[in-house]
Amino acid sequence: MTRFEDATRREFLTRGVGVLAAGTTITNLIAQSTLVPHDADAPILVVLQMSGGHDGLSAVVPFRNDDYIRNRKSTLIKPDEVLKVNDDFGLHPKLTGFKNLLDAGSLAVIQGVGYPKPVRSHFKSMDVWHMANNSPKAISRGWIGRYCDHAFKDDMDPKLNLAIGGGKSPRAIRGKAHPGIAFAQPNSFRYRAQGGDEMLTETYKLLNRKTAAGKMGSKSLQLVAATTAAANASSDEILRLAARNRSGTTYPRTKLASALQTVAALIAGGLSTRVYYVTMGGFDTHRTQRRRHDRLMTEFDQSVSAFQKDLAKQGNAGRVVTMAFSEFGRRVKENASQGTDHGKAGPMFLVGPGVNAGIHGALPSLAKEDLDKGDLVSNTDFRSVYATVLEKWLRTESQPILGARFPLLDCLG
Amino acid sequence: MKVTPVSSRLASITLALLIGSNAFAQDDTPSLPTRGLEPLAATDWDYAKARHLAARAGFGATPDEVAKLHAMGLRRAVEFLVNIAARPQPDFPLNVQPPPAKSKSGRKKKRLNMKAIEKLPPEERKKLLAELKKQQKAGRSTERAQYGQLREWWVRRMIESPRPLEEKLTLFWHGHFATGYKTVKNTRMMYLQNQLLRQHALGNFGKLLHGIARDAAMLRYLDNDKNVRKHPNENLAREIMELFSMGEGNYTEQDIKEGARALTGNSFDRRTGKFEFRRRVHDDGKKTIFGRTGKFDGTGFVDLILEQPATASFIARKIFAFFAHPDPSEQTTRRLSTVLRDNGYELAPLLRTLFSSKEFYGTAAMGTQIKSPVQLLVGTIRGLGLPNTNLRGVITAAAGMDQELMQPPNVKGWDGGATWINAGAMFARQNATAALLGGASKSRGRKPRGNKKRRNKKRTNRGRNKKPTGTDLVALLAGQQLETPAEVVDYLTTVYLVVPLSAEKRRALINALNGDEDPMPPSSEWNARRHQVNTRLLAALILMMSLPEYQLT
Repeated sequence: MTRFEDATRREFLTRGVGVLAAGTTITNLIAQSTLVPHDADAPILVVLQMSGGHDGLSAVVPFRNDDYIRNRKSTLIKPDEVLKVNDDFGLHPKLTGFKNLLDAGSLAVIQGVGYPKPVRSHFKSMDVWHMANNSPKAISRGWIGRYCDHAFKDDMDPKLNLAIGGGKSPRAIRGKAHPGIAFAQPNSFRYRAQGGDEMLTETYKLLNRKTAAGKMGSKSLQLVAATTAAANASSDEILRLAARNRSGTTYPRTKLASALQTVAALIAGGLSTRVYYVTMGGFDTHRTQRRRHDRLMTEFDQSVSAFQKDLAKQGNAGRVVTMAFSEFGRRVKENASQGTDHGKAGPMFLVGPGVNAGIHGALPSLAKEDLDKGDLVSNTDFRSVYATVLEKWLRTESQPILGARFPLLDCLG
Repeated sequence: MKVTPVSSRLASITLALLIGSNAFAQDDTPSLPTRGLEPLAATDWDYAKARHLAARAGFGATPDEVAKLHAMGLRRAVEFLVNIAARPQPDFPLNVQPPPAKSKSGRKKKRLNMKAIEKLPPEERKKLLAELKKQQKAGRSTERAQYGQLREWWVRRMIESPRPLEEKLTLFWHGHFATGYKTVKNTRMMYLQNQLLRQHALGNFGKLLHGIARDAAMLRYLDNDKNVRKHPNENLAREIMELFSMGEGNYTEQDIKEGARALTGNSFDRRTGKFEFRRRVHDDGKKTIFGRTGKFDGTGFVDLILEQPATASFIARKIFAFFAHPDPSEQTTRRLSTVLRDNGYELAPLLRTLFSSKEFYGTAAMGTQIKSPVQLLVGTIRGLGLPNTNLRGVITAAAGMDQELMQPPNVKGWDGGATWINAGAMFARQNATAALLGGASKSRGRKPRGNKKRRNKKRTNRGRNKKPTGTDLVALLAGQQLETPAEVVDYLTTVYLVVPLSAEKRRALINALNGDEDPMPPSSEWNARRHQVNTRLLAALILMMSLPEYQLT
């Protein structure tokens, strides 16, 4: 049975005939999108936010660089520790899964990514990455939201952009017509007040179902009613898929892994989502970095590796690219607490069989005179990476979304 | 256009106050501010309009309070809300101190830390670092605690203040002069700003704008402490015109440049948040702003802004949009801005004419506004007269619906309206409302008490006939003499929903109230079966408040 037939049958069985009686109200428009047969081969992007400012020098280690060796003491990763990629760079010793991905042609690293006039505030810098805003104007829609608004003008599906794991929805995913869905876990994205009472649950569904919204009332009421109906439909679908499609892949017991496991289950179930957003925290390593960062790398490596294995098992690996970024890199010189302070440029990671594997771009110079107040100076604008992902992976023109044209990179096909 | 002198207008208002609502009907004639909005006829005043006024000019009220407003008549009801001087100030203690001054030795240590710490013997270095860390940690936790207290204090004011309009406007101005704590990082400054907004909430916009140009939180948020003669920073100059007063298109880039020069030197004490004018970094040369040339400073610049007609118009329009509906006609904006200007930016006359106007009670306004998260939560609490609210829970819940108090998304504030609504927010709204009433299984911010075993036991006990834990609705509905479930549903609908309910939904709610087993007893028998009845009422009300209709006001 095709996906479309399957969806239709399911809708028909669970919701009755009413669903097929199409009308022209907003309500129907939104509800219908669950019936739209989303292209089963459509590319999916997973954005992985590494919060806190990741020390890229400790992940993609320039192990022979004299300035690196001179500036790092307790955080130094020695040549005999790294997983050598070439004569100059090696991956962090815990990134064994990433090394395998690289060897298998599924990992691209982009060096020296940042933005002009960098700021060292977590909050402000994160905002820059989320908004990817080319104008000084304050805007409240993020780049992924703008992608959905632009590329899915006629598709009001609320599930196109989905953030899993955090509490609040990341600003990056928020669009105007596509505000996105965010939840800590599938189970928190639902109405919870009835405590299992069947009769009350039934009444709730009746009160909030889409036909109950009718054509009555103001535009505001129509919007609220349509959104509520769509939320409930999405919630049912997400809960069902997340519960059903747990593959046999073993994931580590971490937050990131759990979020990625949910993403994998939803992809397996054929959810219409095009951009997933997951977050991993803890990268703000001001002190005793080595120990902490080792742990972070382990979590990062094992979670992403398990996710890739899961996708491969499903046969969906080719549809998915995971892009990892952090709001800034860290100071080249180690501080007095065996840690590093907020810096500027850093590497980004692209994972998936669809990438052009290898280390792209050049590491910015670590020489003292080339640093900006002790920080690496970026040589690649992060919006170039976004533009590349939008154009070459999501197959959408990037200029209307990013507000300007940015040079495309060769990290994707 | 005919100009009515301020004094005669004031006289007519005073007269109306003295005589009461009857005088208002006669005021419809030329003696009333003809340049204001057309007033609603006193005879058109009804319960629904009183409820509308209570919701918009405040955060809503209990059915009894609405009935009282209704009984007052339009004129006196408006006066009851606008004339805040006649209502007592809420007197809740709040202790927000500037962070303790760093001792001289502390500062010295810090400098040592930066420069020579690595040269110290390891033992000594370790000790020093540990001490510094401890100091930092203590400072941070005090700051965190105070920030929590400040926001809880504010929410408590919204819930309990006898001057709801004052708090509503403080929230409005907070969204207008949006300032985010994560950038300011200083509770004391946020507190001072919050008090500034409240002090002028219904006062004078001119004074408020002057205050904002000297407000530490704002100066820090928009980088004016870095706006110095040699390196002007245009951030504040731009936003003060674009977002705070005139709106885009009413000034030039040159005005921004020159305005920024005028604002140089407006700074603050980093510890206490007191305004400081730094003469040495102020640019005291001549500036040309809006075609006027002079040695303007920050105050002079703000004065020039207040002279611009665009300012009154922009502010009047924004106030109308916040309280009534987002699309005022040009004529409405013009009339309101005239009232604002005629009264030297005093806000009370504007609010009086707005809340008394036909337009405010028109179909475009009534029942069409999507409640902001704060409106939804505080409104539910005030509407039901809920006691002992978990204030932190309210703050967390509002943040979960994208309205984080003291952390608006950017300097534009919250866009409001349709932008509040998305799939996740809908569940957040429904779940949080249920949690307020005491019906939700779990709510973020509300930590379950007791050990796990007991919690689990509690969970399994949540049957419909067990002891109710939530709101006492039997008490709330006492005296209404509601005989049938239909009467109960109709009453609750009248007092808590602003749009009529479809027959289908009404029937569903009646069925839910009736239950599967025995029918709902008449109110005369409620006391005898109090717990059972209350549980049923609660379940029905929670369902009612899960309706899309409840998201509107």
